[in-house]
Amino acid sequence: MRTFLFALALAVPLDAFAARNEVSFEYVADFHGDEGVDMATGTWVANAVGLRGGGTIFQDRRHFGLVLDGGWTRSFQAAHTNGYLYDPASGGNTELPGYTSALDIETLSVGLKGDYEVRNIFYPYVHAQLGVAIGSLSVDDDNTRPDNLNQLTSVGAAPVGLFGLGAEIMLPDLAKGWKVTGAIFFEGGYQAAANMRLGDAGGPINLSGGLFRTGIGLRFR
Amino acid sequence: MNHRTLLMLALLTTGCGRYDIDPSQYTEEEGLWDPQSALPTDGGLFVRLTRAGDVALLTPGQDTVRVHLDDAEIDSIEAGAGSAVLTRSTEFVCDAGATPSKYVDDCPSDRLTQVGRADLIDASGSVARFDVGAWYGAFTFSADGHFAVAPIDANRPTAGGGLVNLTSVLVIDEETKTSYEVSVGFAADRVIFRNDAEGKAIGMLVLSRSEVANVDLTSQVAVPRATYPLTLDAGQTVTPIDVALTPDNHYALITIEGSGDLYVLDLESPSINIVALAGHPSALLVDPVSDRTYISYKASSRIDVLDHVRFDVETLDVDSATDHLIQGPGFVFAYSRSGALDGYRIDTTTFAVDRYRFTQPPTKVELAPDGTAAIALTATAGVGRLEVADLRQVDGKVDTDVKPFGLDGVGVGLTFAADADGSRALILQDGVDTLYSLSWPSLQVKAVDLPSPPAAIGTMPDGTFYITHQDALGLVTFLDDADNLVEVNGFGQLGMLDRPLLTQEEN
Repeated sequence: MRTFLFALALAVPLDAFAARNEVSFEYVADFHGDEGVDMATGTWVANAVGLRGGGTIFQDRRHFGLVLDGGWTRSFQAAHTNGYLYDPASGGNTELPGYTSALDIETLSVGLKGDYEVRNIFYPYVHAQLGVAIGSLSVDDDNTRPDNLNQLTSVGAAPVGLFGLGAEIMLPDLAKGWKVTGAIFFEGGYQAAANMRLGDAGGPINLSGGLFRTGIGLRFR
Repeated sequence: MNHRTLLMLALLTTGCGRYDIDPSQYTEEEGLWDPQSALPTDGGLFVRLTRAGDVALLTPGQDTVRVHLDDAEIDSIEAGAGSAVLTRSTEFVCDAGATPSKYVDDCPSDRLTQVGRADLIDASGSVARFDVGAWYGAFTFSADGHFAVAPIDANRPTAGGGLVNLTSVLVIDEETKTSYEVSVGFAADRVIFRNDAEGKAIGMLVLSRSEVANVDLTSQVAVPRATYPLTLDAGQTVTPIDVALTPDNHYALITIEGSGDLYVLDLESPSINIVALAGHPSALLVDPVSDRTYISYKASSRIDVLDHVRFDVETLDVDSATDHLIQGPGFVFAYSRSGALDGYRIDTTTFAVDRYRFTQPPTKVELAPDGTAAIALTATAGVGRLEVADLRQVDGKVDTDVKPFGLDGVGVGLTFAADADGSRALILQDGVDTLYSLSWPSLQVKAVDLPSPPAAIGTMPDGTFYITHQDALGLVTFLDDADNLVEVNGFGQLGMLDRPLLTQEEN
C-alpha cells in the first residue's frame, strides 16, 4: 500500500506537467560492506527492487534533457543466526538456540537526471538523488510460534545521497499513435549515507557503498 | 486520468506487499546473552549481553536497564556487592594516527592494544573503575564487600603488561575505589579473608606455591605481615589445597596436596605446627560453635574432630567415606559425591552421629535455610530423584527415614528461599521444561509451567526465584512465593548491532 500511495503521489503530478514521462522497475545493489547489516542479513550487499517515475522538466534543441524523478526501493533480507559456545575442555562446540533476523530497508529518493540523446536511441546520463532510508530490524527466536514472546522490531532512519553514471537504451515507439516505448538502463555509482541507529538494537549501521542499478521501463513521449 | 497514467499505476502496484525469502545461515560465538551469567543483587538481576559487551539489569515489572561502558567491552560479571556488581572488561586502544575512526574494527590489528580493567557497576553505569591486567584470574571477595583480590592466572598471557610481578595479587579496595598489587608469593591461587567479630575483613591468607602469606588489611593498603614457608627444601614443591581459619582467627589450618599432614599456622606469633592425619583429607570444616574442625576422608570411613587448643584428634567412626561437609545449626552434615549412599548428621555438642541412607548416590545436597532439612539430588543410570532428609531433633532424636521423590529427568540445579510456612526449594532438571517446587516441611510438590526450557535457577535477595531460559533474544522468569510468574524478555537484542568503540587516550 505504501508503494501504491507513493507512486500515485509521484506519477500523477508528473504526468500532468511533464513533456516526457517515464516509469521504471529497477534492481539496485548496494555494496555497503557493513558488519551490522551483514550480521542481520547474512550478506554484505543489500539487494533492493523498486519503482521509479519521473518527467522531463527541460529539453533543449541539442538533445540535452533534464528529468526530475523520484523512486522507492526496498531491500528485505533475512538471516538465521545459530550461536555456539566453544568448550575448551572437549575442544568442541555446544550449539546455542538461534534466532531469525530480517532487515527491511526502504529508500525514498528524489533527484535530477541529465541525459543526452545520441541517434534517438542511446541516452548516457548523470544521475543525482537525495533521500531517506528507513530501516526496520525484526528479530524472532522462535518463528514457528506466532505467540512467541520475543518478536521484536527496531526502527531507524538515515538521510542518503546517491550519485551515478549510466546509460539508457530507448526503443522506438511501440505502436503508431501510442507515443510509448520501452527502455533498459544500467547505472553505476555511489551511495553516501549517514549512520543509522535501529532503536534498542543500536548500531550504527551504515549503508554507504558502491551502487549498481539496472532496470526496465516505459517512456511516454 | 489518461491511458498513460493508468498504465503507470498498473505497473507500480506490482511492487506492493512483502515477499518471502529464505534466510541466510549465519553463526556467531556465544550468542547475544549468557543465561549462566545471571547474578542477583539488591538492585535486580544482572546478566551479561555478550554481543553488545554490556550488562542488563532486570527487575520484575520494571523496564530493563542496559548498562553500557562507552569505552570498554564487558567480558564477565564477577560478583555482586549490594546493588552493584564488579565486572571485568577490555579497553581497545589504537595507536595514534592509525585510524581516524572511533570503532575497533577500523583499527589495523597490529596497531590495536587490549587493556584489562574492572568496574563497579550499578543501574546508573560505572561508579568506579580499576586497572586490572588481563593476566589476573578470578576475584575472591571479602564477606563485607570491602575487598576483592585476584591472583595471577598462569593460563593467561602477560604480554602487553611490561614486566609483570608474578608473585603479586591484585587488591581492589571498593571503599576507597583504589587498586594496587601486593607481593605474596609465586603462583598464588587461593585467598581466604580473616574477619573480626562484626564481619569486617581485617586480613587475608594467600596460598601460593610452597608458602602462605598473612596479609594485614587494616592499614590504608594491604601489608604482608608474615610468610609461612611450607617446606625448607628449595627443591621440593608443596602445594596447599584447602585452608580454614579457627573462629578466633588465631590459627589457619592448611591441607597439602597428596599429604596426610595438616599444617597449623599460628597467625599471632608466626610458627607452624604439623598434625599427622589418618590420610589425605577430602574436606575441612570449622564449626564456630563447638570451636572444632571436622575432617573427612575419601579413602577412610571416619570423620575426625580436631580441637583448637591442643589440636588433638578425636575420631568418629562412620559406615562409609565422605567427601563433603556442610555446616548446619548445631550439627555438621557429611555426605559423599563419590557413589556412597550415606549421609551423616553429626551433633556438634554431643558428637552423636545419625545415619541417613539415600536411595541413590547424591550429586548435590543443600540445607534448607533454617537447617531443618537436607535436600539431595540423586541420580543413577539417568534416573533422577529428589530426596529429603529431616534433620530436626525431637526429644533428642531424629527421624532418619529419607523421603524420595521421582523426577522427570536428572536434577542439576537446586535453590532455596524462605517463606512464611518454612522454605521452598526449586529444582532444575536436565533437558526438562518443567521445574518442581518443593515446600518444606509440608513436602508439597508443585510443577511450575514455564514459557520456555530453563537454563539456570537462583534466588534473589528478597526470596523471589529467578529462572533463566535458553531463548536467544533473552528471557528470565521471576517466581514469587505466591507462585506468580513475571517474564522479562527481549533484552538480548539490546545493542546487538553496536560496534565496539575504541578507547580515546587522554592527551
